[in-house]
Amino acid sequence: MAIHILPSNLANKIAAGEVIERPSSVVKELVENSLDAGAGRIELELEDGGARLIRVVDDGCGMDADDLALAFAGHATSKLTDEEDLFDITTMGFRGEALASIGAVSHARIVSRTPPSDSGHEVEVEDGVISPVKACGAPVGTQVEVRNLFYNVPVRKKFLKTTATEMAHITEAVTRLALVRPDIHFVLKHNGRRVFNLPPAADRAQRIGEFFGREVADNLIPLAGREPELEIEGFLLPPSIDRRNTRMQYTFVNGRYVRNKTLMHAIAEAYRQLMTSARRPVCFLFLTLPPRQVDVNVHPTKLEVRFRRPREVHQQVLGAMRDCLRQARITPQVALAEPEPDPARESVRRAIGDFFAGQSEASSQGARPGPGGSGAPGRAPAAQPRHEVRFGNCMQVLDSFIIEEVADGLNIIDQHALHERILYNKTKPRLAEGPLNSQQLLVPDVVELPKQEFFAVMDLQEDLARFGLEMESFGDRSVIVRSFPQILGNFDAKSFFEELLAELEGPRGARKVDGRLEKILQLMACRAAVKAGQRLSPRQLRDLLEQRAEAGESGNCPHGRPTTIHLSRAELDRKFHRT
Amino acid sequence: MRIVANREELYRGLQRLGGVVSSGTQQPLYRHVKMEAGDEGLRISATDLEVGLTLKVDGVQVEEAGTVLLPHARISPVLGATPDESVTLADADGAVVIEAENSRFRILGEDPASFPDLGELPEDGIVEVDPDVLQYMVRRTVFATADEKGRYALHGVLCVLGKEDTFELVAADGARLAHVRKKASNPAGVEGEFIIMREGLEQMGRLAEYGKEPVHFGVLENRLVAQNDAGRLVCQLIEGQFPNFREVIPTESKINIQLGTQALFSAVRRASYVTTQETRVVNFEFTTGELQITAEAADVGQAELKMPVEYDGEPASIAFNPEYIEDVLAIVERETVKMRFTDRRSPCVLKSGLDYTYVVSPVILEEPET
Repeated sequence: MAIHILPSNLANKIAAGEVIERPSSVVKELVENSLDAGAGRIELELEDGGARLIRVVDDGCGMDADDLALAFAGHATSKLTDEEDLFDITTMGFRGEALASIGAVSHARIVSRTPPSDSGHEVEVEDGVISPVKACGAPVGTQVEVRNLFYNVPVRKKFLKTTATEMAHITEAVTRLALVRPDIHFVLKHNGRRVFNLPPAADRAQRIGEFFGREVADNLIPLAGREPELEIEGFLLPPSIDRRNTRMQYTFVNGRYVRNKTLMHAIAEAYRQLMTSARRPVCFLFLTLPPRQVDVNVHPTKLEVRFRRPREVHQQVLGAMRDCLRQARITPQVALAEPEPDPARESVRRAIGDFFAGQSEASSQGARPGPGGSGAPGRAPAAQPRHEVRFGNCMQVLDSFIIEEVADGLNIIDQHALHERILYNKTKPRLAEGPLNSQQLLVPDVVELPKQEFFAVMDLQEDLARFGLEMESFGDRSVIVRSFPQILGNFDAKSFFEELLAELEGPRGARKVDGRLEKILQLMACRAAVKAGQRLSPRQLRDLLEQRAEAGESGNCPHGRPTTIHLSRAELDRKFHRT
Repeated sequence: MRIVANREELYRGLQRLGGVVSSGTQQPLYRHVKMEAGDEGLRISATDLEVGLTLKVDGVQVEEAGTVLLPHARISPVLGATPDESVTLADADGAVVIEAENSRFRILGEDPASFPDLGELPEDGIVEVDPDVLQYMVRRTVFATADEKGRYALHGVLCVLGKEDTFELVAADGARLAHVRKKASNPAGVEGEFIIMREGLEQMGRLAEYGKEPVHFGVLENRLVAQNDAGRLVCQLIEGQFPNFREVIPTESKINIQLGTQALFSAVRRASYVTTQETRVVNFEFTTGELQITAEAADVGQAELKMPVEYDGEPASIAFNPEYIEDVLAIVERETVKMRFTDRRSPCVLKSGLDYTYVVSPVILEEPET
């Protein structure tokens, strides 16, 4: 493969855009290059989530000295020569932007050797200066090293997320590529530790199993369809294996991972009636079309594609999926799907240390015992709520408490604490599945904060996004809030941030990552819950007590205060001297 | 003071003041009604700190002019329960005696001088609006104001007086906005905008309802004064920055659909029965010829409703808090509303007639993947 500079008219045809957003973009571009080079084994080594080092080593066809000299120049590609080619793309990369863009924002080095040559060559780019090509010893193939990504783009650098997040993005990028090419040996290492090692797989099903675990692998329903201009293959999963979002819908067009509305809609349509509308099916679809039937040059990341004939693709994909489900005898189910979230079984991903790993364990432990709970003299112990409630025999008193008659006495319930606990219990498992429902603001709320608080709040950006609060910085001390957690009902950003920082014990405390999500969750539950002093309608009263049964453990509020004090019949009798 | 009043008229006036009288633990003064008998008949007034209302009471013969201040919570039920057609009220040593054929009440009052002066209609810059138009405008906006958790400026309704007699009201709560534009006679050519408290504007709408004649209003310092044949309202204005509503209303949208008001209202209302506090969402999905509305809560169940629509574009969808849609559909009278939006993440516009625009921001259910 010879590298040459794209004719400028062609370069201009290709929309300019940012290719490199974060380490995972580098990984994607480099692995695609390796695949285009015919590699059989691709090894990735990362340090600090790719921020410090990304090294991709392949055993592909390599580049000679002349190719290397041009590798970091803009729009240098070996894959496209004239304009016509642009509409007939068969390689993964083609824009000739990737290496140049990477070279512009990092210290990068390429070492490469072609099979016929005895030695390799290397070229480096540092501070935008491309070094002359030097001879060096190297194995056949190409090794690209990218160090200190975004060292000269402080804004990008600052907005890199935690290592765990960047690694999640990188793993996702590699997953998408590895699913397309089960024949390639992929190795991923992070900070010297092996994250995964996937030798060439016998087939795609095996590779899917390696990434997503037994439950998925054991339930794959193979799908195959052939139309004159479209070949569809892949796997569907039965509706019982579902997700809350569409992230487990892997769709590929001509070997490229894509997100496309036509395909998403066809998938939703095929599973309609088969599952509850809040759940999303899981599937892996690989489409092959004549390159002229699809435009991949919509966006630099090539994530979006446009079909020349979307209606037909929609029909054909939907038809193939319906046939497949019908043959597998999957028919609409009457019963509601179990609302419990599926435990994460994605074995490969688990290796990366999901932020929620610790969290979900905590939630299954139930609540911590509250201070001043049992044993305090003269005080009734915090009762485990009695569920055998005779509805109707309850009343609100002092606009703050609920008195409820139960089989062996009565419960006195703190309405705020109970509601807080219910919301907390319901929200926590929901959080692990994806961001909470988010009410978009019509007018973004701009809040100016003292500098220290500003940084503290911005530091929470990602955590808050999980709750459905979207925000970004505006200047160097203001925050623009674009949407808020729907659970809160109504929202005032300024007072929210004040309470948030108070809950986290000030800007300093907010930096402690440990337990931060937990505290935000507590605050959300607290703000969303009914307040003391709020009159409840009989309907609200009933709802609250009914939900308690569903919300599970509810003896203490998330802050540890009791929600319920139980007075037994025996105790009442004793107090009134009825012996 | 000595008056002979038609009991029903007087009682109705006191009830109308009920919305202005403070309940709760504020100063007793704000729980009282001032009765002023003079040449023009009887006027009764009440105020909390923010809104003051004076109403004329018909069917009253003034035998002796005078002023008294009585606790609303006492006088109102007494008059409500008295069976007679007319009652006589007369002051006697700081108290008021209410006499009917078979009853005599003596209710202790306060010194009327302690009641604040509610102010008069300013002399200049008066705007005149038709009572039906005003009620129409109030009904279409007040419901969209923010509750106590929201931003302070959004607790009120923005009133905009513009060129060529335009009169606009705008209410917003952060996630939605209601805008209505009408004409009001504005001979002085007053231009400007101010924020009226929600309660004040509601009372202004009621004042229009009580009377027959146009409502005149003007702004004096930080107060709005409105007046018609039924009485006079004074209301504090809200200091604060109201968002630029013109920027909020999208000018163009990719998807434009006409929908039957009642059918849509019914579908959204029914779908909302399965929503909960944590999942107050209904999803709209448009496909060729059909709108499907779905809702679901893990711990309740799900709903799926279909209605035929004139639509033949690409499949499109958007999700809302059902309350935001129900609220507006409940008050528009036209048979159809026009809905337009661009995608799941940008505001949706509902239009009823040329003068009414409602914008609602969607609920985002999941992050679109990048």
